Amino acid sequence: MAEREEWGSRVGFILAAMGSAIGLGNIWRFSYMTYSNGGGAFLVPYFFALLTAGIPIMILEIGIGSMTRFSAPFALGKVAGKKAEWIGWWTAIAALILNSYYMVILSWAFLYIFKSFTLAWGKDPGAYFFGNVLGLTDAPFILGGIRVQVLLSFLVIVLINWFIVSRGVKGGIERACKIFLPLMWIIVLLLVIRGITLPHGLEGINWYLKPDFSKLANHKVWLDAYGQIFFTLSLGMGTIIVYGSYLRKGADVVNNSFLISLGNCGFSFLAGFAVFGTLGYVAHVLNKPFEEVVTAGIGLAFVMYPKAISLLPAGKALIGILFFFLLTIAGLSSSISLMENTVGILMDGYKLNRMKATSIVAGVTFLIGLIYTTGGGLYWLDMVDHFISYYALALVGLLETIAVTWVFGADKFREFVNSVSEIKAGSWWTVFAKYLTIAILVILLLLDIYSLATEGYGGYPGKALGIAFGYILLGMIVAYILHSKEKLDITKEVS
Amino acid sequence: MLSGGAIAMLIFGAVVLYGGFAYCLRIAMSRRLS
Repeated sequence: MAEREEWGSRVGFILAAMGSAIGLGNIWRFSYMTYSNGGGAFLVPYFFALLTAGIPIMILEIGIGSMTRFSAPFALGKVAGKKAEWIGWWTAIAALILNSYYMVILSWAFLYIFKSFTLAWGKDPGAYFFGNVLGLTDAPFILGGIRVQVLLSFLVIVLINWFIVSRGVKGGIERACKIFLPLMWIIVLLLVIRGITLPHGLEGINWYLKPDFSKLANHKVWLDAYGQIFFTLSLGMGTIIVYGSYLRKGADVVNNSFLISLGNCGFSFLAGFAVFGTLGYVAHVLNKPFEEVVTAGIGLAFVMYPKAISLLPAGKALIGILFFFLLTIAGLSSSISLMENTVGILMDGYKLNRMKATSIVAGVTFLIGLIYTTGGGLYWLDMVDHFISYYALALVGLLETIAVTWVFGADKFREFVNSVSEIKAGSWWTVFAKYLTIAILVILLLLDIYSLATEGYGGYPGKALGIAFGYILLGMIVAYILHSKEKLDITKEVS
Repeated sequence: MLSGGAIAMLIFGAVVLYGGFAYCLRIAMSRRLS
């Protein structure tokens, strides 16, 4: 049996795992969520969720990867029996589906680096983005053909991912993250300085952090905090498990989990200053109430931020280039981890070599991502993203937590992590992982099922939602087929 | 200017996140050096 690849250093592992966690959401989602959930008061449930669910599950994922030295299916198979392997195979397919649209979003950011040179979006960035770039159609079933510039940019992003992942854990992923992560922190710091030094930038920061503690009485704010923590840390995707499996024997688990989680959330907190400082300036220049300029997600990155760039007193193109370059490398450090999850599982389960596994995964990602490069692609991206968030990430998070804490045994698991860690996981870990996290994930899933059944999602027609959900179910079936044909028998493996 | 509440939450966030990170980093460094 070939020797398992390993990280070159502890710093390399921490940067790669932090890179996996830090993605587009850290830049365009966290600050808006904070603003709309009580401003600075949201930090209370957010930190509570970080300590009671985020860090415990980070410990769980790095721990089972490190303990078994296998990717998700076989790590779960080792701790909870062969039937649990399917959960890990589902992460292989879910990561592939997720990456196929995540890379398309990255391709927009990549395109916008070049569009920043000439401020190509002009006076109406919204019309430019949805019209000229995406060619957005009126409905999901009107695809409207492939957008050539998006397609070419998507191809470049897939090739960059293929190039990095095919070079291996140490020579590819670790090396790339040692460049990306310091660059991301430097760029976000520059954008923070620019944001808060703009006229009325501090007013935007006031909107970001001014606390409204009355909102904490609303249970939805607490559930939002748990949802945000779970998704921001890249949990339930298999990526942290596969990264943990490349740790050297005896490497720390608990302290590394704290460092990765705190670093990820620290990045989100900092990025909020760049976003809200800039929005404070935009509200002032346009003479509009702050509520009318504040936005999140695609609307923030490709409409409001370009508008802000056009309104800047100086250095417009430079700020645009920096912002979209930041989005691109933050996304790349996450997309390579998603690709590595599927690649690592194929290498373990089918004994494929790295080059072959990476080429297959990159090729399939490109093919299934083509639909999102069409004029109707944004609708499908939105629906598939919603279903993946709940029926892949949250569901996998729930099942893997049950597998480790109830089937394998929380105390046995703690015994392992404490034997290698600088900080010990006390009985608090058992309480948070075995009971609290499971309860929260069950509530999140049930609430989504209820809201889907009663209100649908995003105003999309039931037929379109049915197809998107069917796509996810098909992914689960493919995961089962791959699982049944795997060539690795963990009962015979000596790790 | 920032309001008192915003300044308080800024300090709270910074202490938990960056203070926590620095504390864990110190543990990691001291173990490596010892």
